[in-house]
Amino acid sequence: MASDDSVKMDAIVVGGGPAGLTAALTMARAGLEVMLVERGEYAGAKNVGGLLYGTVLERLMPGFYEKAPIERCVARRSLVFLAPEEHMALDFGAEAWARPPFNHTFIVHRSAFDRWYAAQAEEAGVNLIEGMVVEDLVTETSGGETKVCGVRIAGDEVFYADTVILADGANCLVTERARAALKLRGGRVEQDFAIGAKEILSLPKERIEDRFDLEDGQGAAIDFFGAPFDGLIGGGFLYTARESLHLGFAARIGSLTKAGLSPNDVLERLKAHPLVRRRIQGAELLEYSAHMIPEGGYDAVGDVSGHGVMIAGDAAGLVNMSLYKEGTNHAMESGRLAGETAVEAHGRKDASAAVLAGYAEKLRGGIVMKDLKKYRKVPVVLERSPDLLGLYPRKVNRLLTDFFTVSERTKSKTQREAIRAFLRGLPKWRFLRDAVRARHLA
Amino acid sequence: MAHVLVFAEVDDGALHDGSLACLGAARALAGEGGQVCALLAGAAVADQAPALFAAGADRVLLCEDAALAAYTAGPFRQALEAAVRAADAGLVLLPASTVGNDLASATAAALGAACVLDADAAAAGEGGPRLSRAGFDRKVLTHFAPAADGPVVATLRDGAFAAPAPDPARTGAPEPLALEPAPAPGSARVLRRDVAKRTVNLKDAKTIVAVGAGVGSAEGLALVRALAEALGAELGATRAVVDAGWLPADHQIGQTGATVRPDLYIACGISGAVQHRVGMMDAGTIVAINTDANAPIFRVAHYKLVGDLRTVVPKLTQLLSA
Amino acid sequence: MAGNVMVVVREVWDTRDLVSSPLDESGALKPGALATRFEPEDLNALEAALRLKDAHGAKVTAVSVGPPRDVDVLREALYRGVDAALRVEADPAALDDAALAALAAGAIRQAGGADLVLTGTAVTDNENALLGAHLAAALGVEGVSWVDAIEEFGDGRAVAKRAVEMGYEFVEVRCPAVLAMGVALLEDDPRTPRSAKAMLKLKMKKAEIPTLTPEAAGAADPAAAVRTRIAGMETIPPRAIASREVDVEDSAALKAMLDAVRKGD
Ligand SMILES: Cc1cc2nc3c(=O)[nH]c(=O)nc-3n(C[C@H](O)[C@H](O)[C@H](O)COP(=O)(O)OP(=O)(O)OC[C@H]3O[C@@H](n4cnc5c(N)ncnc54)[C@H](O)[C@@H]3O)c2cc1C
Ligand SMILES: Cc1cc2nc3c(=O)[nH]c(=O)nc-3n(C[C@H](O)[C@H](O)[C@H](O)COP(=O)(O)OP(=O)(O)OC[C@H]3O[C@@H](n4cnc5c(N)ncnc54)[C@H](O)[C@@H]3O)c2cc1C
Ligand SMILES: Nc1ncnc2c1ncn2[C@@H]1O[C@H](COP(=O)(O)O)[C@@H](O)[C@H]1O
Repeated sequence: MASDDSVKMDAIVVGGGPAGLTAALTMARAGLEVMLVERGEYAGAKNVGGLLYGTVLERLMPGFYEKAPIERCVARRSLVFLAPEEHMALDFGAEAWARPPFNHTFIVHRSAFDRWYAAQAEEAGVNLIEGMVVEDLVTETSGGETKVCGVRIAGDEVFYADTVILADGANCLVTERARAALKLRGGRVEQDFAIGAKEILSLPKERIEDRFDLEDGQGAAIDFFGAPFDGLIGGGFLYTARESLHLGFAARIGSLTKAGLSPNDVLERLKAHPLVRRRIQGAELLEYSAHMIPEGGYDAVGDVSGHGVMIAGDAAGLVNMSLYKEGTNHAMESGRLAGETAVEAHGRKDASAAVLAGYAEKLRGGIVMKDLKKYRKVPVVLERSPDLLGLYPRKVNRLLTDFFTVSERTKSKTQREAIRAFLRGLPKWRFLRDAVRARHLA
Repeated sequence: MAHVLVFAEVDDGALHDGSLACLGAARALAGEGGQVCALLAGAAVADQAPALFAAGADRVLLCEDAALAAYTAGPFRQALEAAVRAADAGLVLLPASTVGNDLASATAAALGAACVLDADAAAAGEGGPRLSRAGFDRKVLTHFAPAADGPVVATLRDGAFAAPAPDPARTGAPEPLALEPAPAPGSARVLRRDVAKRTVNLKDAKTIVAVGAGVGSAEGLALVRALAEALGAELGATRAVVDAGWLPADHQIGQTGATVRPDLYIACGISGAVQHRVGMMDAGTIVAINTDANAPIFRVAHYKLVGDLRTVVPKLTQLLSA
Repeated sequence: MAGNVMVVVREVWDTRDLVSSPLDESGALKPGALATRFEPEDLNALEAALRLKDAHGAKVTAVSVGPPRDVDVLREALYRGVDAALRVEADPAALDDAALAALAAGAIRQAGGADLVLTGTAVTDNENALLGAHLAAALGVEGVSWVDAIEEFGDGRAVAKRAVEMGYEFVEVRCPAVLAMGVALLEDDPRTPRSAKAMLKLKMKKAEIPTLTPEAAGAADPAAAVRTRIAGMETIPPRAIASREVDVEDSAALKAMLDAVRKGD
C-alpha cells in the first residue's frame, strides 16, 4: 500500500457490539480520532440477545430509553420450573419497574438496538466501517517486547493506531491471535462456552398483552428450568417484545454434545412443553439465531491488556451467566473502561502495557469483576450438581401438584403420600450437599 | 383481438422450435377476426415458408437481405419494425432464445412498446394481451398489461406453449418485405464467432443424466458418463459444468441452455438453482443425488438420494448391469 | 485514451432462498417479506467499468434511480472505486425498464454523456437486458446485450465478447454505446467483482451524492414513460411432488427405484 494512503488513528476498535460501540463512543467523545470495524453488513446484523440491562448506558446517555428502539420495559419476571407435565412458577414484579428508569431492564431487538447505538457512536464522531473483517493485528517487536500498532483488514489493507480495542465477541479470532502474539496469559481455567439459540416469533401486540397480562409498553421476562433441559447444563427464556416473542435457551456445549442434541432439538423440546406451547400459540417464526456465550466466569478471565491493546466484552469472557444472564451491560462497562483508559493513554502519549494495565485495574475494582467473582462458583456447581437443574425442580413440582391433587382420600393421606413420593428416589446426602452448594447460584 | 406477428427464428438452416410454439400461441390469441403473420428474415430463408403456413401462419413476410446473414440487432430490428407495420400487429411474439430476447428488447425499445420477456402464459384481455411470467423463484405469477395503446412485444419461454401439429393442407405464398433504407453499415459489427456445433439432442431425449459442479472434476464426470451409457441416456449439464470447460455448451440445461422434458431426469451433484430448474422441472420423473440434504433440487425431485455421487453413481451403474 | 464510462446500477429484490410466496391473500407483496440486494449482474457491470478505469484510466460514474432501501448501491459503488455517483430522485417501484431508462439516460446526458454506458442483465426474476435496450434507445446509440467481457476499448470503439447459444461472438461497436453485461460467474472466477475497500469506506461514507430531480433528468412525470404495467400478481401453488427418500446404502431399495423409474413410475 502506498505510504501516502496509510491512515493512522488514535484508536481502532474491532467489533461493533455493545462493548466495541461503547469503547468507541467514549473515546470519540473525548476527542480521539476513532475507527470502528464491524464485519456484519451493519452493527448488530448478527448479534443475539434480548434483555438489556441499562445502567452503564444510562450513565452515558441519560434517558436513552426515550430515543432508543426499546421494545418493552421489563415490569414482570418469572422463574418457571418445568416437569414433563407439570409446572411451577414464581411470578414477581413491581409497579416501579414500569416507571422511569424502568429498573434499567429492557427487551430489545439487538439488530435494531445495536444499529441505533452505532448511529449514536457515529454522531459522536466515530468512523464506523461496516461490512469489513479484521483479519489480524499489525504488531511490532523491538527489544523483545511486542506491541500492537494497527489492524489488517481482509483484502490486505492496513490501518494504524496507538491503541487497538478488541471487542470481537465470543468467537474472537482476532483476540486469540493477539493473545498468542503478545503472550497474554489465559485465565486460571480454560474458557468454557454455551450455545445460545433463539427464535423470534411474531404475535400481534394485543395478543401479547392479553396473554401475558401486560399493559402497553410493559414486558415480561420468563426463565425456564427443568424438563426440556434434562441432562443439559442450561435453561430457557421467553421475553415479550412489542409484537414478537423471543424464545430461546443457553446450554453448555459439552453437555449438548454429551446428550447428542442439536440446538434445534432443544428448542423443539422447549416448544413442545404444554405451558410453552400455550405461550407461543399462533405465533409465526420470523428468525432464528444461535451464538456462543463464554460461560467460564471469573476464573476464565485472563489478561485483558497488553502493549497497545485492550480486550473488552465477550472477547474477554465477561459474561455473568447466573440467573441474571448479564452480557451486554458488562460488555458496555468494560468497553467504557477500556475507552477511558485509551483516552488517558492518549493524553500521556503512552499506550504501553503498564499504562493500559490501568484498564484491568479499573475492571477489577468495578462492578463487572466483583459480580463475576460473586458467581465464580456457578460454572463448577452446575457441572458437579446437575440435579439442581433437573431432578430437584421436578421433585418440587411433583410435591406441589400432588399436594393439590383432589381425590377422595383424606387430606392427611394425600399430603403424606405427596411427601413420600417427594422423598422417593431423592439421594439424601447428595441433596444436602447440593443444597449447600446452591447458595453460590443465588 | 388484433393481428399477431411471429418472428420466425432460423438457426443453422432450421426453424427454431420456439417459433413454431409462438405460432400456436398466436393462433389462439388472434381469435376469430385476427390474422397470424410470420416474419421470415435472413439471407436465404425462403424455403422455411411452407412450414410456417403449415403451422398456422395466415401470412408470411419474407425479408431476404445480405445484411441479415448473421444476427445483429440493428438490421433485424429494422426488419421486425417494418413487419409490425406491414402486419398491423397488436402483438409480436418471439421465442425466448438468445436472439429472441435481444431482438424483442431492442424492438420494443425502438417502438416504445410494452414488453414482457420469458412469458410463461399469454391470454387475450380487455385492454390488450395479458402476458404472465413466473418470478420470485417461481413462487409468484405476475400478470403484465400494456400501459398505453400500441403493440405489445413478448417472448415465450421454451416449453410454455406446444408447437401445433403441421397441417400440410395450409399453404400460401410469402410476401416480400424490403429492408429499406439499407441498414447503416459499421455501427455494430460481428468481428468473429466462436460457436460450437451441436453434438447432443437433449430436447428429444427420453432419459437424461445431468451433471453439476458436484462432480468435482473431469474425472468425476466419467462416473456419470458411465451411468448415462448404461441407461442409454443423453448427458446434460449445468452452466457451472459448462463454464468450467468440462462439457461443451450444447449440454447445458436451463434458462440459457435447453429446456428439456424427458421421462426420466437424473441430477448428479446439482444444487438446483432456479435458472437450472426452469429447464428441467417438467421432466416426468426426477431423481436427484446430492450430498446436501437441503439442496433446492430436492424440492422438485421425486426420488431423493442424499449421498456422495462418487459412491452412489457407480452403485447405480453396477445395479443396472447386474 | 481515458474515456468516460457510466454504469447504471439497481437495487432489486433478493429472491434467493425464498421458502414461501412473498404475497398476501390480496396478491400484494407482504411488507418485510423480502429484503433487497445489489443486482448481481449490475455488480459485474460495475466491475467491468472499474477494469476500464484500471486499464485505460477511464472516469467511472455510477448512476441509479431512487433512494436506497436496504442497500445503497451508489455508496457501494463508491466503496469499490467509482469516481462519482449520481442519483435520480424517483420511486423505482412504480417504474418499468422504459421509465427507468428514460430517467437514467436523462441523468447521463446531464452529466455530459459517456463513451460507454454499462448495465447488467436483470437476473433476479428472469433474465433480461431490457434496461440496456431501453437505455440504448433513449440515448440513440447502439446497444449490445449479454456481454461477458469488454475485450478492447479506445479510439472511439469497443469490442464486446457476447454470449450466444453455444458460444461467443465478438462485436465491435462505435462509441458511444450501451453494453448490457450478462456474466455467469463460477465461485472463484477471475472476473468476480472486487469487494469494497475499507479505505474508501472511511473516505466515502459521508461523501455527498449529487441528486437530480426527474425534471432535471428530462422526465417531469416518470410514470408517463411506463410502457408495461403490472396488472396483478398471484401465488403459484407449490408443486405437490410425491417425494421419496431412498437410502443410498440400501442396494435393494436403489434397485427397486431403478426398476420403477425405468418403467416410468
Ligand atoms: C441466545 C443469547 C441470548 C442472550 N441473552 C442475553 C440477555 O438476555 N442479556 C444479556 O445481557 N446478554 C445476553 N446474551 C449475551 C450478549 O449477547 C453478549 O454478552 C453481548 O452481545 C456481548 O457484547 P460484545 O460487544 O462483547 O460482543 P458481540 O455483541 O458479540 O459483538 C461482537 C462484534 O464483533 C464483530 N466481529 C467479530 N470479529 C470481527 C472481526 N474479525 N472483524 C470485525 N468485526 C468482528 C461481530 O460481528 C460482532 O458484531 C445472550 C447471548 C445469546 C447468544
Ligand atoms: C444469467 C444467468 C443465467 C444462468 N443460466 C443457467 C442455465 O441455463 N443453466 C444452469 O444450469 N445454470 C444457469 N445459471 C447458473 C445457476 O445460477 C447456477 O449457478 C448453476 O446452475 C449451478 O450449477 P451446479 O448446480 O452445477 O453447481 P453448484 O450450485 O455449485 O452445486 C453443486 C452441488 O453439488 C453438490 N455436491 C458437491 N459434491 C458432491 C458429491 N460428491 N456428491 C453429490 N453431490 C455433491 C453440492 O451439495 C451442490 O448442491 C445461470 C446464472 C445466471 C446468473
Ligand atoms: N428493492 C426494490 N425497491 C424498490 N423497487 C423495486 C425493488 N425491487 C424491484 N423493484 C421494482 O418493483 C417493480 C416490480 O418488481 P419485480 O416484480 O421484481 O419486477 C419493478 O418496477 C422493480 O424495478
